[in-house]
Amino acid sequence: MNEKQGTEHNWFAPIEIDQLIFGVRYERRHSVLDHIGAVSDEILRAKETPFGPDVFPLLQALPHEHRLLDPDSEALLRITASDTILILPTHLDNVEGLAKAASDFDTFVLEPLRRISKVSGIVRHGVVLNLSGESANLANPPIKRFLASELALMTRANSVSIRFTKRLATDEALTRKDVDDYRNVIYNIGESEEGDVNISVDYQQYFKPSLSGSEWSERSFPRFVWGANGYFKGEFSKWLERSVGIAEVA
Amino acid sequence: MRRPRKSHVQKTPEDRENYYSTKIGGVGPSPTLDTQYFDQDSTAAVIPTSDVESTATTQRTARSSALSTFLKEKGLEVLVVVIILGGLGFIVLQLFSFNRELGEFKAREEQREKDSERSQERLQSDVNRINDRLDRLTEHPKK
Repeated sequence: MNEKQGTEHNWFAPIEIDQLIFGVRYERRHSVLDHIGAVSDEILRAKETPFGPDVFPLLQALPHEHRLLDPDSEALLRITASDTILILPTHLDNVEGLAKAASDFDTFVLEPLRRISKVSGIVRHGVVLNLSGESANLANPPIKRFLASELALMTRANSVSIRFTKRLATDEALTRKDVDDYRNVIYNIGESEEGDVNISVDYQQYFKPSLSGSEWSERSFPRFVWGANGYFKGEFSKWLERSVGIAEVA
Repeated sequence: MRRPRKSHVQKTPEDRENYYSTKIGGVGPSPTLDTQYFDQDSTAAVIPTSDVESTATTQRTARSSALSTFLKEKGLEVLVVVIILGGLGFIVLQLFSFNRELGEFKAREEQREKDSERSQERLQSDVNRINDRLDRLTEHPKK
């Protein structure tokens, strides 16, 4: 994930995805803490694991979680009694590598969690794309785009930070009685005084009621990311182009 | 155990409207900070933990099975149908049984009639034979 991916589809140029986050939230399972050492060993030492000691050279054992980390690259894997979160630095200018990353996360992190700690009661899946770039390279950097009317009334703003969310229905919740799943998308847009632009899109799916073990297998994390990809390539990409002037090159 | 995801019970238009207004439109009550789940927090955030924490869960994890949901909603109808079908089945069985006995009785009667006819034929042929011998004896008496 640290290598620049193929640029056949420069979805987000001239900004790039510099961080990828996967997260799973589940009903609090104290047994996760009982087996957390065994799970960490499995993640680090499994055959062909992409999350070995070269990616996570350090392990931090805290009372309520384990962290596998690399302070230099800022790669981080956190496992608690209610959440498992993987943060990976990347240099991507499209989302084509997401499926492989999601598959690795499922195979080498979630599978040991399922098998060893018997995790179930899944409440949420989430994937975050963090994009960064320079305001000088954008047709419509955030300050100009979102504060145009305010700028007419005051001197130029030096920085801006905007957060908004939107909810979307899911097919299963629209059809099945007593299922109230929904998707939640969190946008964060910011421009610093130095002209650094950061945009993040956090795409989540909440499960109500939570997923049992067998239901989780049918609604796997890679399948969720496949759906998220469709959102990133569609609605998010169009918003990016309209909002800050990212040109989508086919 | 209920399993809504395995159930074939569909959402009604009213259910769908309620789903949109409470879950998607966000008009319904949001969880307070005292609950375990932060609906709007980032994927990268974990639920804070402390040395002492509640053991209660905030979400039901049991899902309804299709059978139990079906029985809950249509149990009475199922019971009535089972009773009616059972009664009809019993009546049909009785009719079959009666029909079979009737058939056997008829077969026995027919067999008796045939035996009776055969006995009469044999009797008649014996009588004819005796009459023939008597006639011969009468025409040619022994000296």
